[in-house]
This record gives sequence, structure tokens and C-alpha cells, in this order.
Amino acid sequence: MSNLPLQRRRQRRNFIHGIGFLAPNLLGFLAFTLIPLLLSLFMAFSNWDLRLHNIFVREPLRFVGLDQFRTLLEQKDFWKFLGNTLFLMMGIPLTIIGSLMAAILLSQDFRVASGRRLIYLIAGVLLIGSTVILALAGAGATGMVLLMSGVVCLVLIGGMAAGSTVYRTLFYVPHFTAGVAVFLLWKKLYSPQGGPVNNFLAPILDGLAGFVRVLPAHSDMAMLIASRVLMLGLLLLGLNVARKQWTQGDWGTIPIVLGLILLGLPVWYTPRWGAVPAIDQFFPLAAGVVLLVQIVLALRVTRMPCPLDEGMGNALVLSALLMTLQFALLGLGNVGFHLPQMAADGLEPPKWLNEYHWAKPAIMIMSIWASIGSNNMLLYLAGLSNVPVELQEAADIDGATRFQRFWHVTWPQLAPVTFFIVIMSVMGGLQGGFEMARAMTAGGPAGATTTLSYFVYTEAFENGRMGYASAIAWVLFAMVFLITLFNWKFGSRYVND
Amino acid sequence: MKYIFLVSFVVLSIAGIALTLTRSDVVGDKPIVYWQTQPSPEARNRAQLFRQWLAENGRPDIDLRIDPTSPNLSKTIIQGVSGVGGDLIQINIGADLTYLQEIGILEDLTDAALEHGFDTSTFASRAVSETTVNGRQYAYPFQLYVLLLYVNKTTFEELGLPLPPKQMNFETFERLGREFVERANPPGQPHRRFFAESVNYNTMRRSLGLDVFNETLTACVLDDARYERVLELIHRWTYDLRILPSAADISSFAATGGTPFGPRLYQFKEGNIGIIGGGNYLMGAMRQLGTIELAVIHQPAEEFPNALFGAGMLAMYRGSKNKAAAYEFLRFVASSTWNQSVAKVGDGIPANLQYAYDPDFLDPPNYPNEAGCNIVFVEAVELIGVPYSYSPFVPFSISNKIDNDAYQQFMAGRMSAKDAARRATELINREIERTLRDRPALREEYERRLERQKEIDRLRSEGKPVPLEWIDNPFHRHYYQFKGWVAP
Repeated sequence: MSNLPLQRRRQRRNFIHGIGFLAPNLLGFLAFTLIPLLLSLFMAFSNWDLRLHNIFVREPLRFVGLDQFRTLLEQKDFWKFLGNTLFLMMGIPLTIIGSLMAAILLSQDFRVASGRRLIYLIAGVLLIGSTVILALAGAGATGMVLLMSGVVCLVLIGGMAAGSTVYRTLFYVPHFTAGVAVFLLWKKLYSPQGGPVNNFLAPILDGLAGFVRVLPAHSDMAMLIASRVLMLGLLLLGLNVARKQWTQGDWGTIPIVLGLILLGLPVWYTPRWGAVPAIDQFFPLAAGVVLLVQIVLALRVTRMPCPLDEGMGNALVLSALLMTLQFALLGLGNVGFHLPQMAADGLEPPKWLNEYHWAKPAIMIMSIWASIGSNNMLLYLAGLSNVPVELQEAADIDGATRFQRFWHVTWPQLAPVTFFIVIMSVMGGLQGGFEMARAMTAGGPAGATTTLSYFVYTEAFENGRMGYASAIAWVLFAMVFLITLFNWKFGSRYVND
Repeated sequence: MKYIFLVSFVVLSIAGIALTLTRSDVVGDKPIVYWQTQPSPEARNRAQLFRQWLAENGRPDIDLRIDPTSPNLSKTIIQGVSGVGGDLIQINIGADLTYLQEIGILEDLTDAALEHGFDTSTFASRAVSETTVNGRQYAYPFQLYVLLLYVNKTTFEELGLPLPPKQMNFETFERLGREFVERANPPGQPHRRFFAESVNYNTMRRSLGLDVFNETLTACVLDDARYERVLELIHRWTYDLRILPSAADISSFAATGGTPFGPRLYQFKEGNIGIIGGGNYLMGAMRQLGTIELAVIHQPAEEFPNALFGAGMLAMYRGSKNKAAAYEFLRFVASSTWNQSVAKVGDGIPANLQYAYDPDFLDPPNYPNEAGCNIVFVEAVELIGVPYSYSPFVPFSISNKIDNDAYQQFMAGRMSAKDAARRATELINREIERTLRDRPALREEYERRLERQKEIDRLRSEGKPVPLEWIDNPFHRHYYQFKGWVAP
């Protein structure tokens, strides 16, 4: 009994010490996160405009309820910029595949056992040689080609000498290089005339133009139809897998519906974006027939029972991938259709950032390049090192091929990593695009590369509409929050599956 | 651990306090003034000149520091409303001045201007609307500019072509442009050399009597066949006749050499572009490239010759902690020393036009290749310069962006000229409605102007003149005078 006050004093003292330790962090969190967050929530429901309210102007603010959100949803630009954001996010599946392939590649050891001194010698000579070439030939086309060849050899030999660490570092370089520097570099690479990308493409396109010119008549239509058939094939593949998984009780109804929505998007857009409306308008009909057949097949067998949301992760990953491929085929088919006509006058490389239709793909390509070697690759590398060797050995003993070992052993074991990467990439994608828009295109041409985050910036700091900008930010937050909820709900189950 | 933490905390706190107390503006013996401007050798030279001027006039020394900023206003806005703006703010168009005044970060300089002898009666009359809001002066114009076209005379001579005349209508511009590109480019090859870098669609539509806003600035009126004509012409010149480079061509220039004003001047000097647009401030940059034989002409225009006019201005931050010292710099800007320095350097037109007729400014002795250029700029300021029009009912940043976006959409082939004109009109008018909804205090003024607009429309439909004071739009004020539609 007599120790109680002493114990309480000690507890209080410990509490004060604990708070003291936490205070800097807590104060920082309050000042720079929580209070601005609450303030922006308040702003989103007010008519806060810099012309009405700032430290010099203090006109009374008005509560406007949901007006800002209503204006936002009625504004065509918002939907356009959301579309831009989602378009850029279509690169995510490719990024994930790229990161996985890079990780698998980099988990191998490239080091050669002997002759290291000789290799170092060759590498050194190549390095000096490249520098000399650059000095002598200048940065002209020949000099650049020689230099690049030298650098490639240097990288290969460096890998042989120092092992995969060299490649891991090189792959990770884009991630720790300052963003603006990378963007400016890509802007130069994309320069329509004289840029390295178009310099590389020009002879290829010349060759392609020559090839296309000698193609038989109606080859344009054949390419278009081939692309649509392949799109149907991908749809069929997706539906077939979905049907089997559903009937076997591996996928529940909710993931099936969500997957169908994703697979249905290219079907919906084909008549709208297709090159030949007379043909493309029948695409949804053909897709409907495929769907109907699959439904009939599904209903003919007795389904194994399973929870409604079973298999969510697998279903979404597969559907997103197939959707991206379908869209890619849609675009390729359109290009193929117009190709003979374009080739008649010679094929010119794209104008990339200056052309409305190419600006977004140009940004997407750059993002994919930057993301393949990012943290995603490191996560996959860590995930690969955790795959139990016994499982691989067991599969090997069972006579599984390399691909079968990957598909049935490695890939399922990487499920937690994949799911985490997908969620983080989607969240990052929704919030991303600001730096690129600011540094490379100023959101143009004609708003083609304006993403939601850049929209928030322009509304707040160029137009002074703080309330409206806050409303956009909160809508963005709502989207990210929904994805986080999705993660909580299905993440652990996907991993356990 | 807790003692390590405590010691770290104390050390950091002491270091922070020491750093604060030893800051140069705390311990220095002279006041520091921050001048928000684009960093350039000229700005640094003027800061040096300011100190000399202070010494010569027996005034206490001031440490003038350049706070680098870009022409984009966002940095100024963010710093200003956060209470950490530069003491002196450089502004390049009146629309920005109006916006900064609306957000309350500018000091009223009317009384200071009277005291310094630099009020609105002393500088170019066309700059008055740029520097004032509701009759109060918020900035000192430190130099003027008007956007005309430079001609590289050597390029035309080498091609055996006569120099373009000082004034051209659209048809003449097109005809000369076709001749130029035919001579300059090998037949059958894509054009790599262009007649002109660009034309100003604002000036072109104004030359047809059309502006973004109506007379009272209450509505956008771009949905008009005259604007469609301008759009279609520019498209034709860019993509069909290829006498103007496309955005992609201009982007390609970026890979082939540059100057402080971008690679365009280099292309101009090399003869790949026969004509470029700009103010007389470009001549300073061109001098760095060597000698270019120059002539200056007007933008292509039809009935109403005009040119976009503006003023480089200096305003004072309302939250400045060194206002007395900042006023000293404004006094310097109003002085003959400053105006003479503008005339001598030639990076603008002196705001006080009496200095603009200095023979050394009009025909710089060291640059005979520029002879006869500055007089065209000065005359343009006096005769045809018209500032941008901006409505109090929609921020210029928004109306300008909408206008520009519609133009880009049209040039990208995303919509027809008619749709672009209609879209710009609809969106700007929707923004006006939105401003009135968000700021009901403006409604009364809007209604008043609307009534006046109806009266103007009625008088014009009857072919009667209109009192000049009824017209708020600076373009229409000049246009009505030009047409003789102003009531005596």
C-alpha cells in the first residue's frame, strides 16, 4: 500500500518522458499533417478563394455545402483529367511484369569464377575507350552510337566481374535519380527531330513503310480484323478462366463481376475508338455471344460453393492485365488500319510530347522505365529469396519445366508481394503525374497530360480557388481510401489463397 | 537514451537560436530589400546602379538582393499569402497586378508615386490601366513593351526576296510566306525553314474588331465567325502551307542550340526562321549571338492595326518589413537614372517616353544593325499598343487558359474552329457565372454593367456613337475611337 504513490509518481514520470520523446514527432504531425488535413476538409465545404480570404483579406467565408463537389462533378475537365490519370495507370500491369522479370533476372549470379583480373582490365580499357571516343567524335550520331556500344559492353563485363550487384544498382538508378533531371532528359530523348528516340525509329519506320507499300490490297482491313479477333481471343481466355474458377469454387461472384467489368471496358470502347465504325460496332455483339456461351457452359455444371469475395486478387490481376492487352490491341489495330495510307507518304516518327494522342503514351513509357527498377523490383527480389527451396526441388523432382515451376510454385509464393505492389502502385498512380506535367508538358497539349494532382495545383496556386482545390483533393482521397479499404478487406485473403 | 535525446534537443535549440540571431538581416547595419525578379545580368547591373545612385544622392546604403522568380505567378502568390513575399514584386502584365491586388498583397503606391513624381500623369498613357486598379496606383512601370515582329534582313536578302512591309494584311502575309518557304526549302522535302515563328491570334482577331470580352467585360464573345476565320488561317499556315512551324517543329528546335530566350533566337539568326515575334527586350539577347541585321514590322492585321502592349512593373509587398528601404528603390525606378539606363541597355522601352526619344536609344551607336528598330516600337506604344483585356468577373489566368486550351484543341485537330470558338465562349461565361455565385458582392456591379452593355448594343445597332466612359474594355476603347464610334 505504501508503495502505491511512488509507483504512480514513477508512472507519471515515465509518461511525461514518453510524451517528451514523442513531442517533436507529434507536434510535426499536428502542424504539418493533421491540422492542414482538417483545414482542407473545412475548405472543401467553403467558398475559400484567395481573393476572399488570406492573411491580408478577411472577407467572411461562406459554408457552401456540397457545391464545390457538385461543380467538380459537373465540370467536363475533371472527368477528362481523371481519364488521363487512369490512362497513365494502365502502365501499372506492364510495370509489375517488368519488375518481376528484372527481379528474376537479377536473382541470378552473373559473376564468372576466374579471370577476374582480365575482366577488370577489359572493363577499364572500355571505359577509357568510350571517353576517348566521346572526346574525338563528339556527341554526334556516330560518336553516340560508338559510345553507347562501349557502355553496353562495359555494363556486361562489369556484371561478369562484380556479379548481379552491378545490375541491381543500375536498375535502381532511375529510382534514386532526381525526378526533374530524369524528366528533362526524357524531354530531350523525345525531341521530334534529332531526338535519340526518333533517330532510332526513323530507319525502322522507313523500312516498315517500304514493307507496307508492297502489301496486298485490303491488308489494312485484315490487320484491323486480326486485332479484333485477337481481342476476342483474350476476352475468351479471360472468360474461360473465370468460368472454370467460378465453377470450381475458387472465385466468388463479386470478383467475377468486377473482372467482367474490367474485361468489358475495351468492348465498350471499341465502337467509340475503333477505326472503322461499320465493323467495330459489331464487336460488342461478338463479345456478347462469347459471354453468352461461357454463361451457358457455366450454368451446365454444378458449382462448388465458396464465399462471395473469394479469389478477388487473382481475378483482378488477370482481368487488369487482359484489359490492358485488349486496349493495346485496339490501338494497334487502328494503327494497322491506317498504316498503308500513312506509309504512302513515308512514315514519320511520332511527335511524342507535342501531339495530343502521343503525349500520354510518351509519359507512360517513361513511367514504366522509371518504375521497373524501383522499389517494386526490390520487393520482388526479397520475395524471391523467401520462396522455399524445397518447393522448387519437389516440383523439379516431379518433372516440372522451368515455366511450370514458376507458375505453380514461385508465382503463388509471390502473391503477398504482388498484391502489395498492385495496391501501392494504384494509390501512387492516382496521386501521381504532377512532377511530369509540371516539368515536361505543363499539362498539355490541350490538357492531354493534366492529371488530378496537377489539376489540384493549378486550381489552388494559379487560380487561387483553395476550396475547390481542396474538394478535388478530397475526391482523390476518397478514391485512394476506397482502394485502401479494398486492401484491408481482400489483401490478407488473397495472400492466404 | 533520454539524456542523449535531451542533450540533442538542447544543442539543436541553441544552434537554431544562434543561427537566427546571426542572420545578416538581424545583425547587419543596413536594411535588406528583396527584389523578386527574373535573375539576369541586367537585374544585377541595376542592383549595382541602385547602390551608386544611393551614394550619389547621399542616401543611406541598402542591401538590395535579388529573389529569383519566374514569369509564372504561383511563387509570388504562395509566398505573398504566406506572409513571406519579397519586398518588391516584379509584374509583367496588368492582369497579374489586378489579381495580386485582389488578393490584397500589394501596397497602395498612389501617394508615394505623387511624392516621387511618377504618378499616372508622368508615364506613357497606355500604361495607366496596367498600373492602376479602381483609380489607385499599385505599381511603377519600369519599362514598356509591345509585341511586334523582327525580320532577319540577311535571310531575305540571301533568298533574293524583298523585305516584308511594315504592315501586312492576312493575304499579303500568306503570299510572302509561300514565296519564302518555296525559296528556302528544297522542293519535295519537308519544310525545315519557316517564314515566321508564330503569329499572335489575339492581335489577329482584334484586327477584325473582335476581342475576348464585350465592351463592359461582362461576357465572352469569342463565338464569332471572325475568330473562326483566324483559327482556320493559322491552321492553314501551319499545317497546309507550312509557312509557320508546328509545336513539334518548335520543340525540335530545342535540341539544336539555345540562348537565354531559348533556341528560337538561334534559329532566327541561322535563317531557319525569317521572322520572330517579341518586344524590343529581345535585342539584348540577340546581341549575344552576334550581329543580326534587323528590321521591325507589325503583326499581320486587317482593318484595325494593333499590337499587344504591356508594362514591366514593380509593386511593393504589403507585408514588407522594410517598406522605407523598398520605397527608396521605387524612388530610384522613378528617377532619370533608371529611365536612362533602360534607354542605354535597350532591354525595354523607358516608361517615361521622353527618354525613349533619346537618339542613342533609337539608333544605338554600337549596334548599327538595329538602326530604325526602336522607333517602330516606340511609335507602336504610342499609336497601336493595346493591353490584354481582363474581366473583374473571371481571373485572367482562367480565361486565358480556356482561350489557349480551345486554341490548342483546334490546332491538335480535336475540334473544329467553330467548336473551339464556342467552347471557349461557353467555358469563360460559365466561369463568370461561377465567380458571381462565389462572390455575391460583385453581383451589383455586374448588373450595372449589364444594363450599360444593353444600352451600348442598342446604340450600336442604331448606328449611334457611344460615350467612351461607358466602355471598360481597353481594346474596345481604342477600337471605338479608331472607328469613330465615340460620342463627342
